Amino acid sequence: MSRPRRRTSHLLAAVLLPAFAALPLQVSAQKPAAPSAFDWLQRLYQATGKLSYAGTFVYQHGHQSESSRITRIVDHTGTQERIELLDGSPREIIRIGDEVRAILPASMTVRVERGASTRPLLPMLPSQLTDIASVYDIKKGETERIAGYQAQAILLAPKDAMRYGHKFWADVATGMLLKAQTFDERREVVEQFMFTSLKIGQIPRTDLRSRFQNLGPDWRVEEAGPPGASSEIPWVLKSAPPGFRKLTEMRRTFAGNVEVHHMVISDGLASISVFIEPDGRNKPNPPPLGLSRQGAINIFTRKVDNHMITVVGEAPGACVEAIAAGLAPRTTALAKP
Amino acid sequence: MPNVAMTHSSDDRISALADGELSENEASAVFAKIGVDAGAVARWDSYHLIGDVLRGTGAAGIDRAAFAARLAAEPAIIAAPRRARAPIVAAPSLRSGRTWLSAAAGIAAAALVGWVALPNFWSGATGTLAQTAAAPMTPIKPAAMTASTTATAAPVRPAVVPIAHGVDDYLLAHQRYSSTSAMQGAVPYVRLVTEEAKEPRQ
Repeated sequence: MSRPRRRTSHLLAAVLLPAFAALPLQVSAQKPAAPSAFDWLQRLYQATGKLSYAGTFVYQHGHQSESSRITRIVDHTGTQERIELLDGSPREIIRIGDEVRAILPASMTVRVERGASTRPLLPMLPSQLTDIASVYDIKKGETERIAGYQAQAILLAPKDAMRYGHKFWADVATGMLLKAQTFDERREVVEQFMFTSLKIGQIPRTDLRSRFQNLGPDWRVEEAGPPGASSEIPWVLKSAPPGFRKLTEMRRTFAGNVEVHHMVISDGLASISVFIEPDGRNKPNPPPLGLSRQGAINIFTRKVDNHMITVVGEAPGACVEAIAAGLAPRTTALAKP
Repeated sequence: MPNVAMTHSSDDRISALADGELSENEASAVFAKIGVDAGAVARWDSYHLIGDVLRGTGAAGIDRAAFAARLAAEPAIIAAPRRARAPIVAAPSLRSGRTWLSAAAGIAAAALVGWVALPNFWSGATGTLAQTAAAPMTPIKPAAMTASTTATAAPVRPAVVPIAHGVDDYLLAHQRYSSTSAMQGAVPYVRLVTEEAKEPRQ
């Protein structure tokens, strides 16, 4: 080799060798394996906490079907959402942080619901995601195009008859939920949510503005007291279907000053609310005893020990019934009804 | 089971409506008739009961007399043509091989029954609906589903077991912890905001 070439070849080696040396490291850092179904599920849950978006969706539950427009902004001030129903009277659902309001123009009513001040809408904790795998088979489904986005389907098949099946479609790029179906014990869809148009990203705050400003004195605002911490817990859940455990509990005051104990239990995906209150006659229209159903929600009520137990959740009737049966008064502490 | 005059032509139309086989114009005509004719309401109910028995979906808990009286008093509720155009087409996966029209008519028919029977959860008012006792759900053995069972656009018939008025507090308190709230935020609350009647409640 002539001198210039040797220099060139040395130069080349000096440039390329480090690159080659780095290459194997890069290759090992990039996992060639595709994300698992479980990875997709985690991503799905995490995306929601962070994304701002606006779009139109169709929500079908039982025999109701509504188109709505949604605007959601997540920023340093927290999360704000506005849902505007596009069919029928222009009802709105506004969520600011922990408070949810429903504005119902036909009856000129605003209904307000608050959570406990320190607790935001329930986030799904990573440990709960792990529990999910013990009671659901999690599988990847097909890829599909939904509202112009490429989506990956994730199927959660229940391992027993105590829960519903779910299918979620996540945006391949962001992990956002684009479509969701809930299947009952007969493998029939009881609930479906699907975006028909969607924009993810920067959304102008003006889109959050309710069309109902300056409500007049004719309007009525209904508000339950915010839930308080549960002091004495007079009831225990002695048994529950597999995978279900208590997440939280609180005291609530319902319309008519009824004090109710509210317990939330979950299997990581489905959540069930248990309400326990003294069996009085102060409610004008008490819920019927036994099982009722609307779409994906089952409700079971029973009377125990001068108390009324109401179990509500997106789970089969057998499940809410089993949970209602698993409640018993705590034998040690004596709680005044 | 109420007496059913199977040979009357209007009954055939009611049956056809129940099975989602009428066109939009025909459907609205039948709805108008149901609105004013308590006898037609009874026949409508019976067709659905027949359908339910065939599909094994259990008995109804709706107070028929109150239902008929309410329909007679408020014909404005029957917005059938609009309901018939409900965007069910956005969900083709609900049932395969179904035409949009039969699905829409099914939704329209079921919405008529369901809308009046299900209370307005958040109005807090006492409606004029008779208090109904929900029928306990018996274990359902899937009946032999023939290809002709096209009546329901959605597979389940919750209108058959209506939720009584006193339940709204529980549903509202539960929504926050509802399964997919973590992913969907306020979307599950849409369940609770059923269509309101045209006149404000007291």
